[in-house]
Amino acid sequence: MISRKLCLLGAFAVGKTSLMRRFVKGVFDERYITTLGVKIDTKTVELENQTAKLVIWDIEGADPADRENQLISSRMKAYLAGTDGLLLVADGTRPVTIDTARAIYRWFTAEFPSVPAALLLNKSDLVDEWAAGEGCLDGFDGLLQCFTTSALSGENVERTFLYLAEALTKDENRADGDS
Amino acid sequence: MTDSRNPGDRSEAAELARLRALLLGDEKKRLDRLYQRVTEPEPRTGDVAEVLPGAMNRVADDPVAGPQMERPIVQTIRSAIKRDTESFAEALFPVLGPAIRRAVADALRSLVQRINVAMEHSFTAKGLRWRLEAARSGVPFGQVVMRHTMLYAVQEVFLIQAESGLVLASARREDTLLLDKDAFSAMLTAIQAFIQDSFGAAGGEPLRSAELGDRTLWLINGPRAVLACVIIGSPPHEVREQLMDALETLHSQYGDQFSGAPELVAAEPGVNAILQETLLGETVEPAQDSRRSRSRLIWAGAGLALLLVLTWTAWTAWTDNRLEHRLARLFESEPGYVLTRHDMRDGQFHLAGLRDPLARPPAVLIGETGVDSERVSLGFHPYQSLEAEMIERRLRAALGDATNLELEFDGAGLAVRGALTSAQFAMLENLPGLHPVIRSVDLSQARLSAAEAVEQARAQLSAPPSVAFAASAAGDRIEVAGAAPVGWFAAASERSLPVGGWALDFEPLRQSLGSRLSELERGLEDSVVQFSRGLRMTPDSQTRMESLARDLAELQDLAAGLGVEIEIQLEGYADGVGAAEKNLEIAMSRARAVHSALKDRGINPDLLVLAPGHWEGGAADPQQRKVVVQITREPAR
Ligand SMILES: Nc1nc2c(ncn2[C@@H]2O[C@H](COP(=O)(O)OP(=O)(O)OP(=O)(O)O)[C@@H](O)[C@H]2O)c(=O)[nH]1
Ligand SMILES: [Mg+2]
Repeated sequence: MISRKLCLLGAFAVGKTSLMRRFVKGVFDERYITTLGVKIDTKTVELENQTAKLVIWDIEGADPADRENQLISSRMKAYLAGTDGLLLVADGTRPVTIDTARAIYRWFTAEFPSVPAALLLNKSDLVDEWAAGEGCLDGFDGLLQCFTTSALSGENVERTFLYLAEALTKDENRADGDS
Repeated sequence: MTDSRNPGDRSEAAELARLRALLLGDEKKRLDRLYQRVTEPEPRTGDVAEVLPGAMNRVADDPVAGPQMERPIVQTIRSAIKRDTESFAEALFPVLGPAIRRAVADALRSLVQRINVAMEHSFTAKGLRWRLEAARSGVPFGQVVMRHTMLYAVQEVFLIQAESGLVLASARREDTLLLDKDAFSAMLTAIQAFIQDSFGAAGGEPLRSAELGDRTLWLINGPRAVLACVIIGSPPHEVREQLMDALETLHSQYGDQFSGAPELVAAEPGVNAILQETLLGETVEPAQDSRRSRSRLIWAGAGLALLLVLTWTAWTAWTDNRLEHRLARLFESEPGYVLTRHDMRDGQFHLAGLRDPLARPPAVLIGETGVDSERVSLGFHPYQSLEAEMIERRLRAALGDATNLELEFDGAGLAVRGALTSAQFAMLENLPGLHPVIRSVDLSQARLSAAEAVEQARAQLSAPPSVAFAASAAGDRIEVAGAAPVGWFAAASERSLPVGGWALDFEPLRQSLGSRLSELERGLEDSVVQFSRGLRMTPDSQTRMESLARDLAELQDLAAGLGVEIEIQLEGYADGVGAAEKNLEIAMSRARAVHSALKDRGINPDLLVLAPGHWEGGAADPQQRKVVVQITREPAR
């Protein structure tokens, strides 16, 4: 069985941990317990023509208040090392988190040019407060895909993870050497 | 753009050039080419490359120029290393590591201190403690023992991709618990990253070991992969070196693949073989070099010996007790024995009581218990047992040959089945009243022995010696066979009564008589009495008349004895010359003549029937002057 590393990254409180819990354990928790460092879990998934074990790294959230060059701490960089795919998470009810995601994405594509990344606009269940609108995808050039998800209802969660897993296992040109 | 020089200068230069061209011609072109070659780098590089190897060789051999040449090269390498330490370290890692460690190990070998695992406990106490521990923790007992008796063991190793934390390959002992190795190694890598980020500058010393409950985690760091080893116990330092060796070997052989897809590395059999070899371990061996442990060993030995002696004593006492009871039980249940006392003294078993002389010998019984007969002393007095089995045994002894007899004793009555001699009959018939227990004897199922029955039958029937009596193959009757006058047969079979419980079967004798009858019938059929002329028999026929009459007499007796009704027909014939009436008359006369001749010789005239034969008239045939004898059996009425 093949195994691949997947990272969840985004501003804090956007629902990274909740998304991972929903995907791996199928449960949701209202409580917010901020992640320090990183949380790791694994899940074996059946893809189109193989079984893969996803090792998912739920990395602590970035602070949108930080200036762009401080957004990604050296610790976060170390956690991202060797990742095969990135799930960039933003909170659809807070446009500022999309800006953070955009800044992270800009940095990420420069640092890991060949690693696929997808954007998740989370909390789609909060329809009344939804604020992501036109133009929110500007500046995400080369993005694999953008999904609206909800860790609460489970909408699109499984689909998003599997989509990225499929993309990064199909990618035969995985860097073979230094990246 | 303005030129400061005057136009005259310019024309002068042009003139000169033209002059040069006239004077030098082709030479100039060659010069230009040479100039070009010297000033442009591309052709020059080619030229130098052509001569460089030779020149280098010569410089290297030159004692003066050699060192001069080295200096800039070394300097270049040094600054290159300073600029890009990592790629050099990576390149040298497989080479330098082993060399350095080997040197250090040689120097330290005598100093390397083996961590002493505390083994100061008695066997039982320790075992008990471990069992308690196993019960408390839910860990299998075997694993608890291993945890304690292994000085150390590398239980599980993971080869982890340094960057991603993905597991490249892993190996584990069979007896370890499984964990999610992917999550585990990813977490390790995250911890590494965290520590490196929090406490050290980038490139600082990474995490080398950690405690995981009762296990130790060792991380052996390589440039592209990390070897994580889960260890129990306290391994000596060499183990770490061996693990480093393994990681170096892995790097030098498979390092190129370590950054690629992890599943490709796992598929390499060589990787797994090397990882298997890293599952090092050492079990506890008794320390031999300290005096304290030696004396402890002696005490332990003495204790063990004492324990053995105690165990042995207890064991023999226990087995002796068991044997004594086994012996007692056997003698108590054996017919013909009454056990009044049994005990065990000075290693001897004592048994005392009563024994019927007809009971099985004590040696046989002792043999069945497996006890050495030398260790058993007996004190039995004789008596007569009234147990059913012993009564039967005694009876059989009194009857003599009684192996084919079935005796059934129900406590009061005795039933006998089988063949007895008349003496045995007499004895058994007289038994009730004499015997202390047997009140009645049932002989209805018994009979005389075959030999005696035969003698009795022969005497009762006054059988001629030619008659044979024998018990049938089935043993249910006495068959009468052989030869006998049919008169005797008739009389004997008539009043045949069972003899000594045996039925007499005359069928064999009847059959032999019957076949004699058939034989006579066949021989007499178509017998001819020839006449010469008129009523005068030929001389030949006159003599034959005697034997004919004798056979017919026997036939008549046999038929009478066997109850077969026969008819002897005398058919008269004539030669056919003359009138038919005359012929018939003479034919009947001839039959009458034979009739009276036979009657005279004792043949019962009631059996004789006269009849005219059939013959053709008109042709004289002297052969037809005859009487033909025909025998017919009367159909059963
Ligand atoms: N309504 C709604 N709430 C959500 C959803 N996902 C997460 N939340 C809530 O948002 C809060 C933060 O969720 P987390 O999953 O802890 O966020 P995080 O991104 O891991 O935060 P950090 O670890 O601090 O970076 C929690 O109270 C969750 O219950 C969602 O899809 N819908
Ligand atoms: Mg979190």
